[in-house]
Amino acid sequence: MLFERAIYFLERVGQNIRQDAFINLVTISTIAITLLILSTFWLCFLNLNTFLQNWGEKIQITAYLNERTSPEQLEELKGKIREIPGIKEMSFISKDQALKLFREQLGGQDGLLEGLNSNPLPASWEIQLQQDYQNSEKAAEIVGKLKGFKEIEDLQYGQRWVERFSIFLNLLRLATFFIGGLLILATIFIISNTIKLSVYARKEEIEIMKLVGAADWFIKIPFFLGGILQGLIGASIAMVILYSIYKFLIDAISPVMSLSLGAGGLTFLPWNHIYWFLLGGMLLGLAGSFTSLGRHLR
Amino acid sequence: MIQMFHVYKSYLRNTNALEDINLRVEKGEFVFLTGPSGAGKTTLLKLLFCAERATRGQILVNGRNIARIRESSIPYLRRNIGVVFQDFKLLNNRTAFENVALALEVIGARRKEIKSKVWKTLKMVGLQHKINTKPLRLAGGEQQRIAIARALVNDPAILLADEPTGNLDPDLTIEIINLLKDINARGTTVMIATHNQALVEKLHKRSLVLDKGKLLN
Ligand SMILES: Nc1ncnc2c1ncn2[C@@H]1O[C@H](COP(=O)(O)OP(=O)(O)OP(=O)(O)O)[C@@H](O)[C@H]1O
Ligand SMILES: [Mg+2]
Repeated sequence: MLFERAIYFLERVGQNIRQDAFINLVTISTIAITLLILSTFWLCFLNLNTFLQNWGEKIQITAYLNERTSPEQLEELKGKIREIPGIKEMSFISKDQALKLFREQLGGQDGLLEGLNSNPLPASWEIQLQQDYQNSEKAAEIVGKLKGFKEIEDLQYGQRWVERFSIFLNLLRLATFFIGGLLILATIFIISNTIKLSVYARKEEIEIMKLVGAADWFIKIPFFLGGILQGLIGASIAMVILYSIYKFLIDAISPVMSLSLGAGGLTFLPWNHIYWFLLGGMLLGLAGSFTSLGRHLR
Repeated sequence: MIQMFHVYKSYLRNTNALEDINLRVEKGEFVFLTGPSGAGKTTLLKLLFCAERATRGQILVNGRNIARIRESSIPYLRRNIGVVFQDFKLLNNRTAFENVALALEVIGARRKEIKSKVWKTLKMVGLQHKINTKPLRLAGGEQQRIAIARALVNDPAILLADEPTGNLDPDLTIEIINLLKDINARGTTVMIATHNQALVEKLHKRSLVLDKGKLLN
């Protein structure tokens, strides 16, 4: 009985789709375009986020020490710094080590240093942060605390661009939600209107069905199912297009990218995000039919 | 089967399409509802299947007070009332079979049941050979019979017919009326709105006469 009902409703959905193919095409494209835009944003966000995380791990703070710091003061300072929450590891780089490292960095050009009769480089602590302190905000907080020690002459931390980049990422996320919200509202509005058109096209049939005793839900269900189906199709199309674009870009730029980004490179949306987008499409279609039928069928 | 107590209906302020209607139709009865155009015949029928709601008064159908019926209960009321509309209300892009089947589909009947009942009913109205024809390719009397078949296909207790012979020639009129009499003979309460006075006189059935929204005795 229930099965036969389901078949009946599906047949009606099929009938509706065939009868006004154009309206359905508009609905499906609307959903596909919306979800394509949203998922593009999301994919960019995800990739930039992993990218940032890879680089963020390299956030470290270098605290340059005052020339006049005695070994006792150094030990005391070490203890105090260790007490600051978020510090993972710290390693001491003496003046001599600093010079040696500098020489290595200069490579063959270390002749530049010949003229020096004293070592101008200060000793320093290189401080690594714990995982959840590896963002610009937390790092800045710790830097603020370190500034309070008079033995520390200068501080250098992170890469400035990492900070800017993470602000940018937050903006991107905000924009995704904002644009996403607007897009979803606009889409619901458009779908709701296209479904109104298709209800309008069946006005006579719906009237007759009501006159021969059809319950409201019986008339509405095919439209709801149709909305859900259109949403699913639209979302699938969006995912396929997004993947094609992604694949194309990867093939085109991957040699360059892998050089500059290192291992990992770009990734596509994980499966569970794809499921969410498909579900989102179905909900969009359902919401569209909901808003149009609520008023129209009275 | 049908009772009305002090029923009023006004579409517009200060004018009554129906005024203080009191009537009683017994189970299994065959009654005519007559009166000049604009008297309120269609309006009265519409009140019975809740296509319009009474402005005042009580209406009992099958023991149920429908003046206060909830919107969501209306479909279930209608399943017990077959209606033949003045303008047929057939779907022109559906076959005769599909038009009649609609009345069973919406109540969730099984496919097999739909098939056999629709066929039986179309046979009863003499259209079994036009089962796959669409309304526009059928004569007026044939369309009328599809409308009757659709009204009857789920065995309603009451059949309401609004001008069922309106556009038909005298021969077809007799044919349709005989069909309605047959249906009545099987126990269905039948109420026919018409302004065909000759028809009413010939059939010797009770007739309720409306004039300017009032019931005359
Ligand atoms: N939807 C409506 N809105 C406003 N007035 C209406 C409406 N339907 C009917 N009327 C008015 O109510 C009165 C009764 O109309 P109704 O259709 O019931 O008459 P009738 O007896 O069926 O006439 P006919 O024999 O021409 O079918 C008429 O004056 C008509 O103008
Ligand atoms: Mg009328």
